Amino acid sequence: MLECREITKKYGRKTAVDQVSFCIEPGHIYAMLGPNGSGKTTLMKMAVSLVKPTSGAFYYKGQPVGVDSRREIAYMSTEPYFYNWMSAEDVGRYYQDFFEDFSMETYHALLERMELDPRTKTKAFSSGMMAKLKIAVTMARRAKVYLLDEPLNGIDLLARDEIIRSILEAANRDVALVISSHLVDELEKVVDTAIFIRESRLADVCEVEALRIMQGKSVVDRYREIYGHGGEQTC
Amino acid sequence: MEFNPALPIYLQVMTAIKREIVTGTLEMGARLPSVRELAVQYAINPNTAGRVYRELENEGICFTRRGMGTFVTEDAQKVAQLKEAMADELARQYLDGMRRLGITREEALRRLGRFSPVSVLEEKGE
Amino acid sequence: MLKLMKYELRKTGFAKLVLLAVTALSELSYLLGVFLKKDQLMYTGLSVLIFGASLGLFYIGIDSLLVFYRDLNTKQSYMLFLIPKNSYQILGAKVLENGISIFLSGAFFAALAAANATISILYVGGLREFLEMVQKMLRQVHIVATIDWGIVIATFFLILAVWLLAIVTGYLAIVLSATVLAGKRFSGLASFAVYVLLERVMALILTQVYRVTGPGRLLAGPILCIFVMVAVMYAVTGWIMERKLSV
Repeated sequence: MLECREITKKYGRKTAVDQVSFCIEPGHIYAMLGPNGSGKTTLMKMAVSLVKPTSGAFYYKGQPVGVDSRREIAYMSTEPYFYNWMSAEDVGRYYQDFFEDFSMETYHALLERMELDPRTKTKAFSSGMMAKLKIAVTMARRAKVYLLDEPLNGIDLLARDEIIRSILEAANRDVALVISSHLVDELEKVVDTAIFIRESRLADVCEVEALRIMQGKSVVDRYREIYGHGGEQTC
Repeated sequence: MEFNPALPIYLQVMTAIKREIVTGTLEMGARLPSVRELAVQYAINPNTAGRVYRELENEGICFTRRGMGTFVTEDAQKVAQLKEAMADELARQYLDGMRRLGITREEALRRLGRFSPVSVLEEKGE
Repeated sequence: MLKLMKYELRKTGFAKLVLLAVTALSELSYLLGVFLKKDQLMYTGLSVLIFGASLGLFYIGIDSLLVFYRDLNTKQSYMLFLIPKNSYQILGAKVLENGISIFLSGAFFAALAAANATISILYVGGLREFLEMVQKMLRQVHIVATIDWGIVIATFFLILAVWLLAIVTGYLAIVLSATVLAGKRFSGLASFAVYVLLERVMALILTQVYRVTGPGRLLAGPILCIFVMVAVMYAVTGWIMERKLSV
């Protein structure tokens, strides 16, 4: 459904993504794993055409990604990005204005679950609240593909459960979710496929339960194998 | 649910459900949560949740009625057999663990006698 | 498109509101000065109005360039570029919103000036006599002091159009510095240089057009030329954004 073919991104002499190819199929939840700077964020941005590749391309349902594919692909960045003169309610209305698949009802329900006041201006939000708002606004869309960049970062333990819950609620046969995260162990039960990116290249793609059944390894174990002693520690 | 990430998740969830059936927490004929509800409840991948039910069905522990959901078996004998199987498994694990410690089978069996139900509970502080 | 424009207006709204407030206050001061015969108030009000009008349009223009810069170079860019609208639509909404704001503000200030002039003539002692004296003088020297209102309004539109062109050229310069020149040294300076160069080129084209068409009917030739240039700037900027922009 969402596929990249030999996609490369170079910034001057620095290569951020090096000839990566993989395919995201509906009905699966993917973990995109790798240390900071390995290229995960750039890959996601290229999938929604925020960044234009140097060579290669992303294809959604056979067509190169662009303005139209944004209607069905939802991207959540690591950084906060809302206009700071907007309140949470304003942000919801903005999304409603531009995304047909946005559900105001779901949005309000999510805001409530995460204990965010719709009337507060984002200017006054703490980083934790910003992180929750980003998730709320993204998961309130009924997209076909969700690309979540570090959705659990900066979020307290209980809110993380809520976020995982909303991720699982959005999952179904026609939907694909790609979650990139440092918190590998939080994702162990949730994902069914792990994509490992190492130094701008694709290192491996594993079916997670098969890894357990055949090799008795968890995702964390496999992560440590691939990245060596520099493997991410969990909090 | 405390789980071991290096072991198949679906097996661990199956064991948890089996335990609930055997202890009667989940009654015979009771309706089990939908695949999606199970996924959310245990915070597991929906495909894994689906596999849990498929395997349970293969073992005859539950059955699915189209459009109505998945239900615990109404066969009391099946449940009794399950209890036996789970108890045997625990016993096997105990004896296996003892053997690996180098303790003889007789000593292992005798040790069991030292633990009366009451003192075990007291130790746990329940 | 309307929705995009709605948000563009909200982004630039603060600057416009400030201008409106300043205008309202100074107009009030002027009126009070006229009717309460407080010369000081009147002159203060009038000077702030004139100052505000000229600086105000400038301020709105610069503000919209700043908003555009922020929209391209800070994380707020995601708000604009994650939505399913292409660069032409996004830029188009900005150009339209700006154009409409400029022309409306211009018209507003012109109307205000006309109203104030009328009030002055009617109520400010000495002014009417002065003007009558001037007209008498001019008649004596056979200068027909008729004002061709058409040309005045046309010139007014010309100024506003030129200002719009300046802003759209500014957009191009900002986009260039964010794409083609991105990361290269002196990109700020380079885009400014490009801006100045483009302005020179357009001034040259404009003078040529004027030489050919003359003032014509209400300066139609030059004004049309300017709008064509605005369209060209828009198309080029939109193309670069669509093809080359990474946020």
